[in-house]
Amino acid sequence: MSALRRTSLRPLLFGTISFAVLLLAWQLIVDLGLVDGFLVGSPTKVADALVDQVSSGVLFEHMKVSAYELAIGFGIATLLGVVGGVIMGWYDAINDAFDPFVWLGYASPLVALYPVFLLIFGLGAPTVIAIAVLLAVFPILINTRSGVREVDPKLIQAARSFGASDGQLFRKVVLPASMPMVMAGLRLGIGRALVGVVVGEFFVGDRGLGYSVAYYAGLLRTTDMILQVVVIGAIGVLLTQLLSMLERRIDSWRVEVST
Amino acid sequence: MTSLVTLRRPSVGRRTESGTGPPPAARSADRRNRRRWALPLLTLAIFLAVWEILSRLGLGGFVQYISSPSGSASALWTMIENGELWPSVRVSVVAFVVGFAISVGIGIPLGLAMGWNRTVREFLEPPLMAFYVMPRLALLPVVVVWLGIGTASTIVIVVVDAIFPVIINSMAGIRNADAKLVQVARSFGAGRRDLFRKVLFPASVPAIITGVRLAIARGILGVIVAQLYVSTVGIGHLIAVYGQTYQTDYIVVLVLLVGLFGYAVNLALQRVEKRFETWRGTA
Repeated sequence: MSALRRTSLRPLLFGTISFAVLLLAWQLIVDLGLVDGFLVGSPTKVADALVDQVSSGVLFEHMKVSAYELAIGFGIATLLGVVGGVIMGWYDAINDAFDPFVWLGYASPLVALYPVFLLIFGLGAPTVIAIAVLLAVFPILINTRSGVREVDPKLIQAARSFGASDGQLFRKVVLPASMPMVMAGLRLGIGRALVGVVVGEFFVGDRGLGYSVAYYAGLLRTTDMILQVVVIGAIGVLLTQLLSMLERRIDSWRVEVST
Repeated sequence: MTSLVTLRRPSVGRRTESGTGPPPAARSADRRNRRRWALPLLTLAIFLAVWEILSRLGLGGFVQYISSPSGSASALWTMIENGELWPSVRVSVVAFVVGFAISVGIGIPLGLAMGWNRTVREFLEPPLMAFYVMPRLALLPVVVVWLGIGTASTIVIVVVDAIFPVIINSMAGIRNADAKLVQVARSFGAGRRDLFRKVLFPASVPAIITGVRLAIARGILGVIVAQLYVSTVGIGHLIAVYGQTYQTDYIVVLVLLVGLFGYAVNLALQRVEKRFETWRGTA
């Protein structure tokens, strides 16, 4: 019993210690004058800036814009990625035909196309959303596709033997069986969508957290700039954790069934 | 998460033998192979043709901004001829290679150490994981403020973006090494050094290669975005320059060029990966 508690608490304890050490080191190198506090801020200064920006509502204003762009962008990417992935996973011919586009789209720095989107959608949210969609759609599509393609052939054979039609096979075997891969794709996708929103806002944003990072950087207000980055990082961690939890839930169902 | 990986691992050759789609007509592997090459070429040709025709119809609206294959081709030729392309390619490739080498050089030993030693892992994993899942390109303006405009900033961004998949995969490689192999080695009296050199390290090579492959895509994106953001040189800078005057022909062809480079490197590493995977599959 005590051994079990020790092993489950240890990572948490060590993790807390390592974050505390990092923050302390950051504070100390500034306080001791090893590095100019103007450049790197300090935990206390960032905390002050956080209180400032929260009480004045500036932070939430920008968070709302980024959250909106992320939600729409990730939503569109999910829709396109899952539908496209299912189609490409199901039909071999379509998969063969469009495979090069998928890999090229995945490998290309599509963010750099932002001037083209700027011309089409104009400055601000729509262009940012387009960039987020382009970055997020490919991991979702690729994962969904391999999820559909790699369904246990025994399950498919069994369903077929019992006379399942294509529609039934898809709804009752392939779709549930590929869910874990789809969820893994969504977890990767939300990270990329967030990158898309932040980087998109660097270049074409008129508001939002990514825009704020670039804005404060331009004014050399480093503490405010670092605060935005910390907030973006926290959002990234939070969203990924959320999707990991969802993923585990869906996977736990599978384990229950198979045992 | 690890259980997911083992569950999903496909058995060898299954993919080609039984499609999951509608019952496939009996077709020979030869015919399928030919289709594998012919179909993508056909769709690419159709895609290019439709794109060219659309751009020539003069439809207005957003269609006027999509450039065209012929326009992009001549843009590429122009850049080759006026000597603009090569120096930019060189600068970007150098920044990428240096950043990538640093990522691999630090990432693999660090990841292996974290997989090998529990205390090291438990101290380093939480902050590294936090970095791993955050959008690290958000650090771009910060890095530029700290290091100034130039190749140093670009390299740091490449490292910041590319090192994490290397670390995480190297660590996972060691941790997922077959426990039976370790037991056998121990039973035959292997010391810690032998265990690492002869069992754990070879067992983690495939995972390390996967990490390196993932790092390439991130590194390339890092180089381009960093040079796009602020820079005076490189492919990213070239794209930014043409972006300011909205010469979409140039932008499209440059993005495609980088994409092809990434695709080629990725493909080569996938080959290597597959080699190791067949070897690993028997373990």
